[in-house]
Amino acid sequence: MTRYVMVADINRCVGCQTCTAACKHTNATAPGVQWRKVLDFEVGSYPNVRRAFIPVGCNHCLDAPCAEVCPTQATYKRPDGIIAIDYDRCIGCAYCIQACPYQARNRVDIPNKAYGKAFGQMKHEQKVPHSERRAVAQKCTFCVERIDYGTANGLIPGIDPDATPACANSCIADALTFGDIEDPDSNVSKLLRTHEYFQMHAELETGSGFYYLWERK
Amino acid sequence: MMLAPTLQKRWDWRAAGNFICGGSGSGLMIMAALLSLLGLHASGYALPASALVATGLGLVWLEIGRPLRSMNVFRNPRRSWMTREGLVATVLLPLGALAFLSESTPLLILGAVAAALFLYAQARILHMAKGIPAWRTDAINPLIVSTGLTEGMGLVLIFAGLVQGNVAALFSGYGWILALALVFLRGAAWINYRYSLANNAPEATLQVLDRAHGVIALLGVAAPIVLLFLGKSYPAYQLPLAAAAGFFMVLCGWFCKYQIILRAAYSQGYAISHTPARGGGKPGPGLKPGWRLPQ
Ligand code: SF4
Ligand code: SF4
Repeated sequence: MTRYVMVADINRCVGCQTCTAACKHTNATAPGVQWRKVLDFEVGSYPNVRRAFIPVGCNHCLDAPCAEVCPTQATYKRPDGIIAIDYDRCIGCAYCIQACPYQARNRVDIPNKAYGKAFGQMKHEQKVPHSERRAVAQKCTFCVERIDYGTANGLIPGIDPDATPACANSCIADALTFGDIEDPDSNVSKLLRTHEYFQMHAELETGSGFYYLWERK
Repeated sequence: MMLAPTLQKRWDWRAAGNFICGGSGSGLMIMAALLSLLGLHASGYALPASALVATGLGLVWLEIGRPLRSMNVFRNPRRSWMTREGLVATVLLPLGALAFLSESTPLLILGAVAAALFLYAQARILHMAKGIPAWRTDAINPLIVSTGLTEGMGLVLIFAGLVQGNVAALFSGYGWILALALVFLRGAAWINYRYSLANNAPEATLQVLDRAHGVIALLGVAAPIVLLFLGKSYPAYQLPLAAAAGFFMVLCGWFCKYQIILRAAYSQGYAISHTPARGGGKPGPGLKPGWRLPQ
């Protein structure tokens, strides 16, 4: 069995948002929509202030509440653990958006126009309009096309860049690591063995596939 | 970037309209069947009940992104309460129309069974929305069901005067006691709901519910109780008193759902349980912005 997950070492992340930009670049997401973004937490008050940068997005949950509620089965779990959306089946009811405790989902009803109505669509927006995503649910796909391409060509997701999500590839601090948690020798399994980690909103028992390393063991 | 819970904007008044109309309509069907068993002429309520449910579903249809694909909604009966709601509606709507046309009590009762399932499905739709703390609590189920029944009874009271003898029958028999019991039941479900969320929901959600509490206690509980007792005591004014009690019973249910679905529906927000050890330093505490107590 395979289950792809993301590991973020929050000791390494500097909040540069390169992953955010790489994701936007790769997936041509709509203005205002970020499948990957980095939150800026400030804890405590002066002079005892701490800061943490937390990459977030779809956690590709094991018991995904979004897939559970979807009336059309447009949201479904693939055998490799990735939660995917069949855009042609989705009715845009937005129930999955309400069911996701990570605010990972969006529905955009209008064509992409980063500079607003007055300027119309830019050339690249016309080239990759992604009209299949219009008025339906959308979220981070773990760059599923890259993973499918990689596995079909003998590459290892998380190791070979061509088979790895753009965010993990782009990270300047090597804070994001992608891989198969079911493989005990994978890069992510090793990181999880050697570090203390948490999952966001673990109390909601979603089985989040996004692990935050916060201290070396 | 917003870390604290934000108000959901994706389901607007149209989605709330489904819970309002669908809850009242299914409640009306159930109460009509119950009252017909107590000897009232109630099959006439089946048509407005079905019409209300249909209106609610129509509003949802207007809200979904791809209405031309709406039939896909029936594709997940094994897991999705939204699919189940839709499937039950396909039985409920024709049964309601048939019960009205044939004035048949057995058909009305069958319609009420479908209505009960529909009402329960609506409660579970909210319950399964794990991203919205104000919806996902177990206590949402008794609240949505009890307010649907109370609204249904309220509609019966409002329109009781249309059928000769129904108002008097309501006050001489168990009808008014049923109405009172429902008002109490919904009041208890509301208190239980708020209790379930104490320290278990975003601060902003709790503030909305705090503000709504006075209105619900006054208009949804106190007013109908007083009006129903007055109706029992002054037979000459039973018709307007029953209608007024019914009005407040319905109004409170609609207000309550409006508050829960549109105003108190803050998302989970983001949280971390630790801050990292930087360099040679030590890791620190976590943070859950927008919540009253650290969870
Ligand atoms: S993070 Fe949200 S969208 Fe992603 S799998 Fe979990 S519930 Fe679904
Ligand atoms: S918006 Fe689409 S993916 Fe989400 S629950 Fe509705 S049908 Fe399923």
